[in-house]
Amino acid sequence: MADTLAESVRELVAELEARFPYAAALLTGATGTQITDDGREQSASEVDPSRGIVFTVYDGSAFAEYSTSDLTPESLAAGVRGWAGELSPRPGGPPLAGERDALPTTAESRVFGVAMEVDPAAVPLADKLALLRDVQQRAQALDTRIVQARVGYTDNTYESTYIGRGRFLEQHVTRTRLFLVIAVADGGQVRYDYLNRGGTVGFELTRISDGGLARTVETAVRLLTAERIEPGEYDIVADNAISGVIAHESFGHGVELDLYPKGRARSAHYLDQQVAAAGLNMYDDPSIAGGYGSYFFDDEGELAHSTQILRDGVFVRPISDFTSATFAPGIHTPNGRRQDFTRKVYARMSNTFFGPGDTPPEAVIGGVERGIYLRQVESGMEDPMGWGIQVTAHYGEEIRNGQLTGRLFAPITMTGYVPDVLRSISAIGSDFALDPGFCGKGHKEMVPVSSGGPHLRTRARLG
Amino acid sequence: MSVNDDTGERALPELSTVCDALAATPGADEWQVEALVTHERQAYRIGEREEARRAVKTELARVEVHNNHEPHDSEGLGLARGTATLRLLPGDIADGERLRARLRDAVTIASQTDSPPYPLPSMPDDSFPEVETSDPMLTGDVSAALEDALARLQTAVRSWSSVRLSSAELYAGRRSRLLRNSRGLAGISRGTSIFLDFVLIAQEGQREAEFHAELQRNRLADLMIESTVDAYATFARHSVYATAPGQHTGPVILSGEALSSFFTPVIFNTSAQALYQKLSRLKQGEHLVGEELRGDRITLISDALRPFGTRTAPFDREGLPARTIPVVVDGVFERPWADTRYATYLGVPATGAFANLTIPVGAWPLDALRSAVDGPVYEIVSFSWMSPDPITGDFSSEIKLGYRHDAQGTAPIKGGALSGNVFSALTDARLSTEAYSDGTYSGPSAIRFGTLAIAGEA
Repeated sequence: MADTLAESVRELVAELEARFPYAAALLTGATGTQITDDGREQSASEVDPSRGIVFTVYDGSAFAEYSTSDLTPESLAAGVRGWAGELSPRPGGPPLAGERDALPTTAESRVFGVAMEVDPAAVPLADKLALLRDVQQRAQALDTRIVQARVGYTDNTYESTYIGRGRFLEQHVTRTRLFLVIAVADGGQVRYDYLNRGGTVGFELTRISDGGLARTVETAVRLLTAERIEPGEYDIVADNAISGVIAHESFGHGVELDLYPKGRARSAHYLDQQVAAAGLNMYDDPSIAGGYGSYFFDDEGELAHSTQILRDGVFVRPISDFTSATFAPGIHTPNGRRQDFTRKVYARMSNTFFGPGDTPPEAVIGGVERGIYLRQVESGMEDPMGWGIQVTAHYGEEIRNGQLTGRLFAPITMTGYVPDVLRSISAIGSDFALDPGFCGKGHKEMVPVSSGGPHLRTRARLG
Repeated sequence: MSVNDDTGERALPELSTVCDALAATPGADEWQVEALVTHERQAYRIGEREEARRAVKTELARVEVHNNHEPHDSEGLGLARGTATLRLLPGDIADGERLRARLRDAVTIASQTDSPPYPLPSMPDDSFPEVETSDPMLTGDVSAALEDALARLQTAVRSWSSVRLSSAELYAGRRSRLLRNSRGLAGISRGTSIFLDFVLIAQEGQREAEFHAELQRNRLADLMIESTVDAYATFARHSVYATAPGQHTGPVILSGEALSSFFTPVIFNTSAQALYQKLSRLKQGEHLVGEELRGDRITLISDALRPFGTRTAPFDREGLPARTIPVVVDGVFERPWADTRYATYLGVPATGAFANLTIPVGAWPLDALRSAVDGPVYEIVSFSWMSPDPITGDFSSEIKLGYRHDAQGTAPIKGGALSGNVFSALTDARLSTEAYSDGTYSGPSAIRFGTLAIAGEA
């Protein structure tokens, strides 16, 4: 943050703190590059800078915020003072959430950054374009039925500065992502598969083996003969990504504390109760090195750390933001996130996953007499109050007598009642992987996250 | 772009500054600049208690720079075009040297990518059409309008004894968009918007169920707060005692909001982009669903002129004037919709981006569609998330609420999943005479499909 702007923001926060029980400012922005190449068309651009600032106060009864993209110090000061002039303290509301791990007040900023082998900002655009062209051409050459091999690349360094509660925190979180979509056609139909990589890592993430490309092309071609699954109850094995979405949609969204005062989360009635199979552990951890949903502090200045949500199948802790911890007193976790400065903060996930067990993944599949191996995430949807769950897999492969038969079904949607799905878990793999993606609150408020875990065996309704 | 600018007019001098700088930037062979100014107020409630209120003002200029050059890895094929996009904040524009440096960087980026060239649109011979996009209720004191709307929402919910308001979010604002390009095109578009998100919880004894509504409109009156609350309160109450559906393969009706995203694959497959990229299964002039049509012949229209439609504007993203485009007529793929890039690539006229979806209603009264004389008929009114694959048309979605119509009457259902393929489903579709509109979709309130599958309880 430029010194003059920082000084201006500090002064404004101090003015607000003198009048209200709580005041803070969050300055956000992003730098980076996004590129696509499908062999016929190329594009390259800067990422959306989403640059702006949001000032927050708690007036004693409710939170009020002022968001603007005008960062000229004079305009900013005039805007904030004009807005704050219309506010008055209104005591009588709930007391502010307690400070769980407040830092000592310091005038010095703490600066955090992602450790990277190769900083994408130091890689010339020409090299990035050459890499994508190489991946595109290697993929395109693998099968004559490919009608489009499209490669997308993004490096996005999210920058934020939090000033408030005696804290001056600055972070630079670089997220790198590579996405390949292979579309194949045979007669009148088009099918596709994808390869998705992403993390808070550097340009090193873009190294893709020929084997990885070949598997994506092979699956896309195999999907040309995929069938629709006969609706019904099945034994299923979830791959790492599907396992992660089950975690995300069940006791991820289901334990976001902002839902508690709204009466929307059934989990509020199940704290310290068994809700899943014994042996199942689940976490949300924004501090994981390399996780696509990682950060050093959340959008309310709370330092990142792991929160265990399920312990041995028992629900032990929700995730929260500062606002919801005020309205529904509970433990404040570092999960206050905004889509961008124009949107409100909510309790949001970061990297959400089931912990690994001790069953080798091949044995997780091997234990199924007749079932479906669900692969590749298309989407998921939460239902925190009804405890329904919807997870759509890009495809599934038939399992007979513990062996994959090669017969594919696509797409497949898994639905069920969350406790039934989690209590039916009969094997927890010893493997572990995180899958990058984006998460909404309902159908809005998108933030980068990852979901994952081990292979899981359970039972659910497929259609 | 001034913070206190209500109309966008004061953004013009700064837009001119960017245009002048672009005209003086070597290698900026073509360009487009949009100035976007938005003012929004947001109000949040937990139950009837205020949780938060927000004031949001954003201003930025979105610049597209095109550079023509020799292709990098193939010779003798003519010029290639590269495009780069950047966004400028007021501070970027005020600093002349920084502005020039940003534009030079954009040219450098554009010069390194290769795509087939295409022209930007010129100013239309006629002026841009007049469209209704601004609600006077939202151009004045927006905070007062929000408070009034929230009060109406709370009053409407209170009239339901067994239903309570869990939470509400209401955003209202106005926006201005100024567009110019290197071919002399210039236009201004203004509009208002309102977004209402609310959750109702119905309770019957110890049993509770919620229903979540998300409504995006451009005019406050189009929220129809009282009737919307009544409809969703009814859904919430039915959800309390809804049971899981059985396994079913047969007629299924989609109605109301359940229809809103159903046609996404048709819209994508009729685009010039999908045709050019060989991702479309459709051929112009042929039947949308082949020759096996057993139901109604559907017509799909892109309508950018519909008063207060959420995609209504005098011109689209690149300045093509608003119009009504029949894309599918009586079941036949009439013409692709196209921006200038893919229109040029495909050699078809540029129509502009797909706007509001209009489908003429059919000839089947809703009661006739619900007839269960030949066996049970399921009607789905809401999905957890209906998101058909835009390329293949496959879909599979959890049922949030529906009804089973059979000889015994009508009973609510929830859970299980509806699956099928949009194109296959359209071979046997019957459109209701009753109409429904949600701001983007306007068409039959219900469509009955001859054969879809529900994964329910055995």
